[in-house]
Amino acid sequence: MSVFPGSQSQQQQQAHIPSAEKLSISPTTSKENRRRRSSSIISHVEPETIEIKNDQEVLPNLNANWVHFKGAWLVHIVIIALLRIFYNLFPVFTKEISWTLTNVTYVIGSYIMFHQVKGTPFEFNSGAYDNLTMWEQIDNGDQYTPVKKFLMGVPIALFLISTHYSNYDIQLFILNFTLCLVAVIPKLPISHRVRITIPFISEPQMIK
Amino acid sequence: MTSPGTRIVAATSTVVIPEYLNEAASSIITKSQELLDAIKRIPGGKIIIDYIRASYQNDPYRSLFEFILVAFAIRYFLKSKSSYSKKDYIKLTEKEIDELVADWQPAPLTVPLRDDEKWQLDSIPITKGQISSHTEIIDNRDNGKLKSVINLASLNFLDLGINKEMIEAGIEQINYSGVGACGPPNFYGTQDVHFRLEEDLARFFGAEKSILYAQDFCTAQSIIPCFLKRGDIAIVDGGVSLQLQKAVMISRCEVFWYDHNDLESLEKTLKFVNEDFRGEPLTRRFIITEGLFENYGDSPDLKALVDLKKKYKYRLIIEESRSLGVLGATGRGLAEVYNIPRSDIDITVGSMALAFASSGGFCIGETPMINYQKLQSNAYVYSAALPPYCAKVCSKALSLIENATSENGNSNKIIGRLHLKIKKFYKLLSSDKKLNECVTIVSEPESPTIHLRISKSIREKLELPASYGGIGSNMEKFVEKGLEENYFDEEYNLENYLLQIIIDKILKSNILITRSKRILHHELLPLIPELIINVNAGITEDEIVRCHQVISKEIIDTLTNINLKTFDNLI
Repeated sequence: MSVFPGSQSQQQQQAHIPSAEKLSISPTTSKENRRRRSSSIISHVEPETIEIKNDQEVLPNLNANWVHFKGAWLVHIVIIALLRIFYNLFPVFTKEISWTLTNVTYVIGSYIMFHQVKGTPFEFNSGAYDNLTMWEQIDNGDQYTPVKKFLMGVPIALFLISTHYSNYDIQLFILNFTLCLVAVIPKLPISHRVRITIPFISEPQMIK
Repeated sequence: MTSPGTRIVAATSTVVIPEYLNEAASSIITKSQELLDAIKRIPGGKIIIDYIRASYQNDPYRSLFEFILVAFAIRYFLKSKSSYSKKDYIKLTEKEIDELVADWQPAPLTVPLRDDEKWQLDSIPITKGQISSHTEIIDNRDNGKLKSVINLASLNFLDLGINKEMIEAGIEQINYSGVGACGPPNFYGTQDVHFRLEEDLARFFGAEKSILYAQDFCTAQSIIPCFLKRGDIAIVDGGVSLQLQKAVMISRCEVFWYDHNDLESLEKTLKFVNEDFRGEPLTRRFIITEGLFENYGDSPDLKALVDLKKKYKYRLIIEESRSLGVLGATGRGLAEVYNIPRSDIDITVGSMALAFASSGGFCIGETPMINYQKLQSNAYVYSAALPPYCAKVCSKALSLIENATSENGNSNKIIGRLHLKIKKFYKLLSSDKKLNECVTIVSEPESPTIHLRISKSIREKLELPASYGGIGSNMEKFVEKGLEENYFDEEYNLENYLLQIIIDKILKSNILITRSKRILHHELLPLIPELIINVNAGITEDEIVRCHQVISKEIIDTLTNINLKTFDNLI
């Protein structure tokens, strides 16, 4: 009794089918399909499967889409101005130091927000974005988009301003320049989906 | 030895070259001065010049760094957008698109009905009037004559559907608020009766809080994805019903199946998973099972299950649609049978459409768990609320059951009546030796749904496979390729037809039983077709004796006479 033309080996197949009570099929998920962490120092997040891509497209990614609003662009400038005013309130900080501190705060803050935290705070896509940083979620990973150009420009401009107002003190310059690199390098297309694990310091990164 | 001539040449040349360079340098300086003046004339140009002048500060290396940075930024800004998400898209020319459109043939909406599966449509009984223990059906094979039958196919176990108080409560509520809730629960859909029912359910089952769903089949499918996400772990019994199979599938979690109702297999799986996921990020972990299995009619050992879940730190989801209102002396479900507080079961999913003779589903458990669903559960947030009269009727059913409980709380008239009938029916069937040679009773004595499978020896005689579908089967391969419509299992169809023949024969004696009507390509797990007898509280004891006689006779008649040849030529 053939089931369907082309399924000649049905009798052989059925030898492997377990009975209804005894499945003997667990565990069904193999380790290859599962989420895993990288064991190497530098690794890449693996491309999504078709199922994950589907889930990503079910709803717009509210976690990343707000960066397109004009207000979200303006708020970077406002935050920098507020930071500058805040550090100015302390008489102990000279002009040089307070500009450098502004730069430090902005760069570290934006690093945590764009490159450190992964996933989305709200659950709309069944965890389809869990392995991606916010920078990687913006514009679905497209590069050189207007918002990415703007966000790249802000730390560079801030660096130029802060090094200018710190009167080119060599130590402050080195600090500011390092911070600028911290802000710029993760934003480069070459760093897209790259994960770096520092042995004994940071946990292995999820790459799948 | 060098000659004086060469020395002179060298001397003159050292004089000439600086002069030439000087001229070039001075012209560059004047040119750049002009350029600077030109830039100064541009609005804002002066600031740039001043900035560069101030920033130079006799430190050419630092200026070089800044220059490189600015150059990089300009280069970055001038780059045009490159797409990451669409990089594997195939680019088609206009001509190719036109060709594809011209070639396209719409596929038929459904595959044509095969001759050998037409019987399935004809075999659906059409009822007239209320569905209860005794129903009128229109007999297709007898010119549409009305026929009064004993209904052993209905899931309305307590026969509350024809209770006068229930009907009156429903009519009263329809007169008051109409038939629909007119919106999702969070959006004008909730009325007073919904709150009352939520309180009633929580009180009745001894839980903190409850939540209502409009459709019982979607309840688990909405609740499980609400708590389990990608990367989470679900350990699921290998015999769960379709709704739980679909629920774990759409939640995208890691699913591990254990052998049906085998707690050793469960513990092995728990150990394996805990070992295998060691060092992985901590995720939510659930054991998912049923209170009374829809496909088997048995129950897990809840006490051992709760111990296991505590030992291995899992949460427990039990789908109790079939067992609530049926199991336990007062109908509180499996937890009452094992005398376990409801709070030990993290999430209980139930249905109001079966024993409680209403409609819709519900979930009971701790308050934060319920509140979370109010915002996160898709079926609660997006679909219309339960019709108010269904809520009212279910509240009534609960109060009827509560009022029927004896003073010491050990027994219940309504539930006790059902238990008595189940016991009697099961005893008659299980003590019938000749019947047990033909069919195997899969379900347990407490189950109101009695599952009868064709016995192993007869199935072997008919060369039927051990089970149909499931993981690793041919059917699964078709489903994976999206070709499940092309898959037709002749043996599965034939075995079902054999069962239908028995049902039709029994129907001639005015008794309606049913069979498991499962669509093979929807099921993830292996299955075997079964005859199903749903014992109803409304049947008298004499009727049970008669039902047993008829069912037993027809099954024995049909199955003892069958052989491979007649079986293959049934249709």
